[in-house]
Amino acid sequence: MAGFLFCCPALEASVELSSTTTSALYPADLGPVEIDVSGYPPEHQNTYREVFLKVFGFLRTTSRVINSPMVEFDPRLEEAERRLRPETLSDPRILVATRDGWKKKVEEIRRRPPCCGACPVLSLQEAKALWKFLVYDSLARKTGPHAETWSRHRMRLIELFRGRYPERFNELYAVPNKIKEEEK
Amino acid sequence: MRRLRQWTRTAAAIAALAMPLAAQEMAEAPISYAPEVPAPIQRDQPATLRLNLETSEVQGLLMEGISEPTEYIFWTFNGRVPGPFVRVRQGDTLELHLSNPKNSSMSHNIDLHAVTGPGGGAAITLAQPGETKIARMKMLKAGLYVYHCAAPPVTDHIANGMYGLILVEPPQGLPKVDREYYVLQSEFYTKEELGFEGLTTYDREKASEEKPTYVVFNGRYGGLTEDRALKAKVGEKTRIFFGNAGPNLVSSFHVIGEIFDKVYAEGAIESQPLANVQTTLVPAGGAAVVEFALEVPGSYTLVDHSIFRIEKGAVGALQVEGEEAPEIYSAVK
Repeated sequence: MAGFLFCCPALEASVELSSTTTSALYPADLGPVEIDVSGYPPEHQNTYREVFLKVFGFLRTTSRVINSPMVEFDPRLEEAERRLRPETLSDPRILVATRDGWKKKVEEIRRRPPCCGACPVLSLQEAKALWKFLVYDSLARKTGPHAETWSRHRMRLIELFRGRYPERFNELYAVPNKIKEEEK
Repeated sequence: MRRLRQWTRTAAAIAALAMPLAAQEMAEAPISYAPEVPAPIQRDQPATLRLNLETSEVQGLLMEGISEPTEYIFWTFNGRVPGPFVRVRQGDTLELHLSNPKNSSMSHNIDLHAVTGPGGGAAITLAQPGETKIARMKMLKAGLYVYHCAAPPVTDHIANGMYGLILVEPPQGLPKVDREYYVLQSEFYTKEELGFEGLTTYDREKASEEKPTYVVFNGRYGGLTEDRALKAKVGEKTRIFFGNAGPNLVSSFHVIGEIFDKVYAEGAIESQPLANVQTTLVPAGGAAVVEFALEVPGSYTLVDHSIFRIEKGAVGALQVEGEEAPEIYSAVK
């Protein structure tokens, strides 16, 4: 957990409609499309530049991933977080705790085969690096000392989304747990 | 005394005749493992060739995982899936030595679609654990053929990996090309979901319902991607010997961004080839030979165009290096 202390991207200042988003399906789509990784370990900085932006920037806006409520915990870490901040982990609009959510996401992307020769294809090494980056990044920005900042950021996105897309908002949040399946 | 000398001379003559025969080793049938293909045959006479195949159950890689690989217990010829590519000439006689080791838990045999006779060889090659069966089979007709184990239940033996291709070249050989590759499509049916990390196991029910978990090229998910991608250069003519072992699905073989200049459908290499084909159907237990020239560099994707199967593994890459050809292919804006 100590490794996550040095990074605190200015999320709250960035709640603007992403420049690459013309219509949003989820609140996360309205958030920033980039993150400041300058405080991350070099291997994660490299993965962010060389893999994360390449893959998610090509497939769709990066904002859905950056602003996703998903975190991937090991049980020990999750227990500690629940003890310290029970309120954030009890609200799936803020955090969705998974054991292997990012891993499954990356596997899914890796299985999406090339069709045109131009779209990015994840090698096994890149997939491993991307998975590690996503786990690290989401824990760094969404939990521990940054949990409150994250919580405020998510709620602002949700309010913004409610104002702009009320029908879609109702569709998403009418059933409380629906976000668990969809907004990953 | 004279009779003794005569007897000695006769015995010596018999010995002289017999020695070379005994000492002479029968030539081995040329074989290779996917995606490689043995070199074209240069002989202009038929020969008798020995083919050694050993059956075995091997725990191996079905799919690379992010943290752990997916492994599977394959039933194999020579420890590989697919089994070896065998290259012979029409008129050759294949002397097959099929060994089933003592520690095997089941019997095995082989049905070569290239063989004329009951079971395509299966009827005379059923080897119990610890046995070696030897059979001679004449290659009467040129073509690209599938072979597989046909020991009962044949369904399980194919579903678990016991198959390969045999090419019977016509006496005049095949037209010269720059590269030849061996690609074989098949399915795996597992109890666990695709990408399960650990040892995944055979699901007979899924196989019976024809709902594969994996549809793969060359025996594994990713068998033709990353460092296993096929390679070629602009200006080269490439030939793919494509087989479909099934056990259930028909393949719609296609290379994205290429048009097959020639297709010998059904592996019928003495028939007139089809020209300018986009996608060719390859039945389970069948094969096709496709040829194409490469004009533009880049990455070409091999697929079964029953397109959802690409997410189950039926996808590969052909990396083509060389000079750009803007007169054929270029972005304008």
